[in-house]
Amino acid sequence: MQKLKYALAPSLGLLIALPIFALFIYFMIQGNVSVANFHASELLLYAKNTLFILLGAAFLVLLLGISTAFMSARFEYTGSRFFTLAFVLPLSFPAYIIGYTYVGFFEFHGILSTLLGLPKFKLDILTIYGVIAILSFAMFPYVYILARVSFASISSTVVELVSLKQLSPLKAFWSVYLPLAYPAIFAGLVLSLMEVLSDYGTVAYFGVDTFSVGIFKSWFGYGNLKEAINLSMMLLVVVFGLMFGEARLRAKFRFISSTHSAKKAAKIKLKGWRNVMIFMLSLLIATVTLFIPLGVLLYWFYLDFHTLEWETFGYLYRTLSLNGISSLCIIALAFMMVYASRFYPSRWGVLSQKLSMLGYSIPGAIVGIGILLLTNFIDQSLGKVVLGGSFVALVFAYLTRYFAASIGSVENGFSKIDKSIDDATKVFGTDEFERIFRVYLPLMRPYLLSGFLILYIDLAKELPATLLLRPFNYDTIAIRIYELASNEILYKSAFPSLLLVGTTAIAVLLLNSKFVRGRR
Amino acid sequence: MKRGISFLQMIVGLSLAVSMAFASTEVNVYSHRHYDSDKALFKAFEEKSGIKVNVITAKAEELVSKLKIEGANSPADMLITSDIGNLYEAKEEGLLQKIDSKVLSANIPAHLRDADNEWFGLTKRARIFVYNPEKLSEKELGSYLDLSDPKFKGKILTRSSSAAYNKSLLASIIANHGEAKALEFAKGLVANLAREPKGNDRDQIKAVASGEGDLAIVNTYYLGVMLNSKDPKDVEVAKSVKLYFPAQNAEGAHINISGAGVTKYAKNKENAMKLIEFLSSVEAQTLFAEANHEYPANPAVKASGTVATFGAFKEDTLPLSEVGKYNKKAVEVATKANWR
Repeated sequence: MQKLKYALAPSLGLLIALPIFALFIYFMIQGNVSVANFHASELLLYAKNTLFILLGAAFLVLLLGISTAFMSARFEYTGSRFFTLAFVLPLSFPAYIIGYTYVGFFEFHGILSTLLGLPKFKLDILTIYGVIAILSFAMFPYVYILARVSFASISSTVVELVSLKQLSPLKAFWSVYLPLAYPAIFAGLVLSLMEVLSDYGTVAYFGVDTFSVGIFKSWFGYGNLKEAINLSMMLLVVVFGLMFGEARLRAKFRFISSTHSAKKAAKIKLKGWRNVMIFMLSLLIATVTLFIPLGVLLYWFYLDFHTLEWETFGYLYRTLSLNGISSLCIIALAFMMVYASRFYPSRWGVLSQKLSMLGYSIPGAIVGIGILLLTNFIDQSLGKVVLGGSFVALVFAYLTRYFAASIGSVENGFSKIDKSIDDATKVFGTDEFERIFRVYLPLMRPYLLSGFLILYIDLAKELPATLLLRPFNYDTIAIRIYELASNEILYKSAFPSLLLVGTTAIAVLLLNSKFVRGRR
Repeated sequence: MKRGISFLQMIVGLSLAVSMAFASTEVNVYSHRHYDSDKALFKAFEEKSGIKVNVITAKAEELVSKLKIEGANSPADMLITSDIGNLYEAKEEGLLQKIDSKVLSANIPAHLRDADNEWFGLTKRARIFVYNPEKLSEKELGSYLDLSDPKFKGKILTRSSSAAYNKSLLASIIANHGEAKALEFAKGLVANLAREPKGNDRDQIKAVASGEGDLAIVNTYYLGVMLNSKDPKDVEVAKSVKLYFPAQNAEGAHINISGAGVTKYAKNKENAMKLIEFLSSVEAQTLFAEANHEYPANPAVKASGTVATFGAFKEDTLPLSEVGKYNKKAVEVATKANWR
């Protein structure tokens, strides 16, 4: 029995990575790793652009994510409650929709030129810098959501120490608060960057050749799916390497603050010019990441108001029901996995946890192909169609693709639980299930909820895997948005996009409410 | 957690039961077209025939890959794509089957359908020029090949060569004029570009209107959609440019198709055939034409009001299988010419 428990984490990791293995086996069976349709110079260009975008996005995501998280977790200022919600919402836009809205905002005869009364004015944002900005606006909330929980749980003891040592606010931020939130920030950054890496819609529209454009060029251009898989596998090897590098780096930064044994530090009430400054900064960030895209969508919705389609609520219902079940399954598995790796650690567990995260860094359509290969193999072995075209296949795809999105916050939460609590529960001989339900789940609640929220939003806008794997006639709201946007009737995509953002807002409000958070 | 799984099982079971109940009176469609007009057409067909239409939409390449991986397990009876390249590919991969239909032979002209009757065109889209009448006159324009003339330096706009419409255009040039000429064309085109290819067709039209370039290669129906847009600025932009049908003294304007075929392992072959026949009928073709400003494939049906104002033109009647044949070659040529 005890031995079986040690096998739990590795087998979960293997299960989640199965579609990746299916791709890998397919890749091995072909027996060649050629990417014959590409010149070295072309691949080099892809690598160069991808790296540039990753670095740019990393910088901007950290800047936006950390500043918003710190402001909203540590200070009380004019509008702070509102901004706490506003900083999450950009995550609910599919990135390419933010791209479209910005084009609509800055283009010739666009919204800004009309507002300014300058008919000739336009700003070309279809550049690599535009890609960095758009993807960062769409992804920074990952860092915000995760880091805010960390900053908010800083204990009063730490704050007292800072004031005893008479550290300047800046020094205190760099040397005390930032390191404390490091695991969370890093988890958020990894999520953002992996999603940047797998983005296809935005970069293709903006005309920037990245690695994922290369993957789709071999698939869609040369009709060579095998080569597309080859390229994806190359990408995976690089990501896998980076993950291990990061794990070593992170080991150096492992901090334990006994957040749960001490009182949480109170927020600082800002007054005077500090209040004005922080308010202006928040307003600026919210404007570029939320108000402009939202405003453009509202304008488009206004243009199309009288053709409002009630059927859109049907899409929404399908999104929410599929999404709720999938998110719950995924977050539960993430909890099991991290719990098992903490109490029954093994080398295989560490490895398989990294494996389970890989699905996040390759384009969702390729993960979808992995699922197709896998489910078709199983169906063929069974001699009848059981999995193909079923919800199980789709939920499995979500699991493989988005496991990384949930495990970050769960890991971060566990890292905040002092090992002495583990020892205490063992000493008192508490039974395993009791231990989970009475100790760890309650302690983990904010982290599980933020993980659930990220998953919920991610799944609601998920497109490529849903497109490929959903059962007949089961169109989600993201699919509806995509249909309208790809027909180049942008204003029509406004209503479903707004509905999507609306449900996210409700989810965020619920999670922030006392009802969910309980007494905390 | 437990409840989640049992609920899932319920959904799976239910959908299986439902699909079994409809087994003989349904047709399963994989479609790359995702227009609301298509949904309306499927509904009309359901009411008329009593056959339920089940649809999955995705990108054509994905649907073809899906069909390939699923093999005999595939639930799909019918494939609809919005360009010839993928339809041709599906046939080449042995994913379609021959259907004999007098209705289709009568409704769809020969150059818009497969010689072996494995696929049939349903709508036509002409790939044409949109130009700024303040910068260029109609007299200066000619065929596609003329776009490589240095006089257009810094004036031409187009989206990426990986867009299916550009691929098929280039493939048609290879088929009409040979690979060497096509490469020369592509190189000349790239040298004449006003900016790196990016954005969609709508963005190219906007860039012509803004003066970023003088001429763009686009599909007619995007102009039709913009002229009928609820956004007054779109209408303004679309009205400020002019449309030109190229190659009128040569092979004619290149046309691409949306088309359909019955899949090789179709379990509801008869129903799929009935649906394609319906989509080629005057009733359905009229809706295709009116709703999305495409040209109907059935010659008995007239173009929509907006499209009719574009005027009559000579179209390239090169059999589309020839275009399909050179689709991959076109990607190679575009890559050689650095057309991103």
